[in-house]
Amino acid sequence: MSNLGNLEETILLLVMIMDEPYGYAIADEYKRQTEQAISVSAIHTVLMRLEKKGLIVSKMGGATDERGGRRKKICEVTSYGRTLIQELKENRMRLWNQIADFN
Amino acid sequence: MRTEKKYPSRWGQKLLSWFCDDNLVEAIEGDLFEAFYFDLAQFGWSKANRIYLISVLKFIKPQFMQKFKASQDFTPQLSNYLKTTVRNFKKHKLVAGINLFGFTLGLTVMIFVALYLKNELSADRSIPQAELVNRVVWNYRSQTYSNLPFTNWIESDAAYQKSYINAFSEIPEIDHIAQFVISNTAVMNREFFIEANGKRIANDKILFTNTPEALQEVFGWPLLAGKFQPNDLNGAVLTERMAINLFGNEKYLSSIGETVVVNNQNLIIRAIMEDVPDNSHLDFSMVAAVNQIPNSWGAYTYIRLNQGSDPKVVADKITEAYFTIQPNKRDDPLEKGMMLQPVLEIHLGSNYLYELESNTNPVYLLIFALIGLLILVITCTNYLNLSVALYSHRLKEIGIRKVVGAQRNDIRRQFLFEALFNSLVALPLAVLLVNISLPYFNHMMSVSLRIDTVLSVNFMTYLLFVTIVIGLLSGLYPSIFLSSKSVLSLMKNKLSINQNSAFNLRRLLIGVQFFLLVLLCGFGFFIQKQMKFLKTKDLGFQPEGVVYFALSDVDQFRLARTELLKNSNILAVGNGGVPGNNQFNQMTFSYEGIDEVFDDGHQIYMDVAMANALGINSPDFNLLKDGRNSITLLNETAAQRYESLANKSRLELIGKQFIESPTSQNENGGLGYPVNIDGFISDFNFFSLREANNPFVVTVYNDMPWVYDVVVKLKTDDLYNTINQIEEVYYKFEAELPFKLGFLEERLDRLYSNENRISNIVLLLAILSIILAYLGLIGITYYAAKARQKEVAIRKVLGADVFRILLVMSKEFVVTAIIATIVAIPIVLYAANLWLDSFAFKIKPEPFSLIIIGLAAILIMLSGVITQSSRTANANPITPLRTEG
Repeated sequence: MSNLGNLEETILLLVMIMDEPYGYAIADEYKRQTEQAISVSAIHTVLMRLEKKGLIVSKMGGATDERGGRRKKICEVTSYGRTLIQELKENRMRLWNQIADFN
Repeated sequence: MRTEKKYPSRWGQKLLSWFCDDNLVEAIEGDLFEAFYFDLAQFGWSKANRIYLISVLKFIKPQFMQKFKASQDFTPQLSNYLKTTVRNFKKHKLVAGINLFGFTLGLTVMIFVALYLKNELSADRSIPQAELVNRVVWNYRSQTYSNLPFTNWIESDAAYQKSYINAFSEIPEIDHIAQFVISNTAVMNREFFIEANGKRIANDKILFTNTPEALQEVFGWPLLAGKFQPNDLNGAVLTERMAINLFGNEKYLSSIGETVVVNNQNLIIRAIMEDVPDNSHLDFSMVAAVNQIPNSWGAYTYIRLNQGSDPKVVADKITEAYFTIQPNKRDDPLEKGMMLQPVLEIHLGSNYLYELESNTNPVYLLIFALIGLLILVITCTNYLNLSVALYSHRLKEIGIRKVVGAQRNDIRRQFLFEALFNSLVALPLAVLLVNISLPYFNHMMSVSLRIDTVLSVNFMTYLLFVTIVIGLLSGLYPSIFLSSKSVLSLMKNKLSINQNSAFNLRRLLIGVQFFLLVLLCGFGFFIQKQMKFLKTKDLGFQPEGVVYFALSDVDQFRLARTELLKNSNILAVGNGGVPGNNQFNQMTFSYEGIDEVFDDGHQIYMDVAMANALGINSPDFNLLKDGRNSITLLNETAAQRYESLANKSRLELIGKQFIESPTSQNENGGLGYPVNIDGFISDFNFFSLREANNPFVVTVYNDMPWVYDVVVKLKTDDLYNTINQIEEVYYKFEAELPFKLGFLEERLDRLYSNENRISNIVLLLAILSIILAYLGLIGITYYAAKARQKEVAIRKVLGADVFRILLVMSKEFVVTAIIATIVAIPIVLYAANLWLDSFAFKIKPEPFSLIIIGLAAILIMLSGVITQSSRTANANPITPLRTEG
């Protein structure tokens, strides 16, 4: 099982949450959800890493005026990505459930 | 209405698209724009823009800049580059061979230039702490003497000879002071036999000194055995070469204590020293430490200063000490005092009276370096031209490489590698070529460079560095040019060069090459022309078949003359000062009735036989037939000056007085030494043609009461025997001193040895540059013809004939060449005039000959263009039209 960093995990989750996830929108959403600022270049770096690990795929599309006519790089989670995050969650939950105080 | 700024700074965008990988750039740009518009609404333009720019900078990270890295997927290794290079070399043997040849020639020239400059610039630097060593020189009239006269001139005894040395050594700043004379120089016009171990060697230079220990302290020559003795009255120090010559290879180091006989004096060998370096301004094969320097009217004086003392102050002290010994000099209006000249400046162009060698003019070193640089430029542009031509065959290869995944940098690296490879292969070839041609170069430049210098670690490091730089410089353009082409145009085999732009690199290169070509050839042409002029100009006398030698005693001369004239091959035997001399001391003079005093005169003596031998004549020689022994004649220059000053006719001047040294006291207490003017003689060039015609007073004798040089006019039919007979007669009267015969024509040639060298080298390099430029041009034309083959085909289809097509194809070159010639003409004229300024007698460089040179070069070039273009012009027009594109 490939290792997933904390930021990678968050971004992957955001990709799964959002309708049309792409660089700037993810950064925006991240800020809204976590109340922490993040640079666009950091987002792109993480997306490239996720794509390389095969957790997401991307396609170009959806050019708008406010993007100066540039297309978006829209991401989508792969089934492998979905499985992986599922496993991750289950693993975590198993650990959480063993802590008596929280039950 | 104020327009709101709606866009972020353009340069941020440019920066991003420059460094960021092409496949990422669009999405990133879009995201950043979106962020910018969000910020714009919130903070206004300037803050939004600042945030935008910072965000752009945050993308400068390796993961977004993969294009600057060599490709991950397709990484051709060095071995692949090497294989491709070698394969292509084999495939295009001719052009690639020419390319390699060009590199080799260029490097060879660079090596020679470096070797020669190193040799010249390092002259005398082997002296320990050479910057402290100075020569004492003397200013008198408007001239500077490289030597100091003895206090009592040629009559000086040992004590007189040392009087300056003793006085100057009192000066506290002077650590050591030494004086010497070298045989067969202007100060000691004599040769001596060196006898030892049963051998007798003639015509080797001997350094006579009366201060041997100080001499060694000043120059610090490395000794192989023994040492210099203080106050040595009869010592000798042999150079290694001379010691081996006399005592043989095995015994020479143990020859200390043996006796050498020079000038009838027994000298004990005290030490053996290393040979003096060839580039030193001193040249001798033994040092003779003697009490009294023989046969000299002065000596060269060198000092070693204390560390930190000011040469100017020392010079003043020396001048003061000199005035103390010679009080009458203090008031002499011609006296200008003494100076110190750093020893390191002597070899590089010192041109005082009676120099020990004819020193290298630094201007010539500069010319040499510049020409080296020109050849370098030609070499690089040449490689560039030829390789671009060669690579036009390889567009598909580059295309495929790109398709397979090679990035721009891979292509760039490949072609840089090829250029570097070429230059590195050329390096050993160049060294080989240098090794082969070194003897010729040495002979031509009269130096003795050795290949060992080239092979030394330092020199090799320098050479390798230069080679790599040349390689990279040459490869830069092809690599950038080819790597920037798109895959599509490469695969279509199409070279998109901008035919229409008036200013493109190719045209610039042709222009530069042509410019350099005209520059070198034009300059070379004027130098050759001047050299020819120097050889053929009527000097006012005939040097053909005239030889000269020294004899010291006039009675010997008279007897020898009778003997010599018995030989039917000897036409005349005279006595006097031989022309072709280096400048010697001028004479101060005035004319009767004229107050003005001149200091540019010269006094020349000859007997009437010598005048006849040289073909110098004057109607006034008739005066000698009336029983007078000598007459005094003014040359044309001196006579004309008197005429215009006195406003009298030539005839009225006869009988007037010509006053020599009018400022010094004569023995009767009056001023000057007047002589009556007996007549006139036309100007002749006693000195080199660098000197203008100066006023001469020529004293002609029936029979001179002393000997200058013996001048003999020969029939050249049986030269060898005649010279042997002269030698026989010489030794009948002079057994002590070796015989040395000079030819007047050679003596005249020697006056221009520096000029001869530079003219040879410029000629050679001009020829080289023509060859190189021609080769480069063939490359360019080949490339241009290929690039225009479709155009040519269409012209043919439309009915143009081959001739017209050739015309069209040559037009571009011809126009560029004409412009380059026009630009080069004033520069050549300027340079040629600068060089010619050192001559009083010179050719006038006209632009016309340059136009001819330019035209000839254009014709040569055209022949190259036409041979290359005609292939395209004659080709079947269908073939290029059928190819896609």
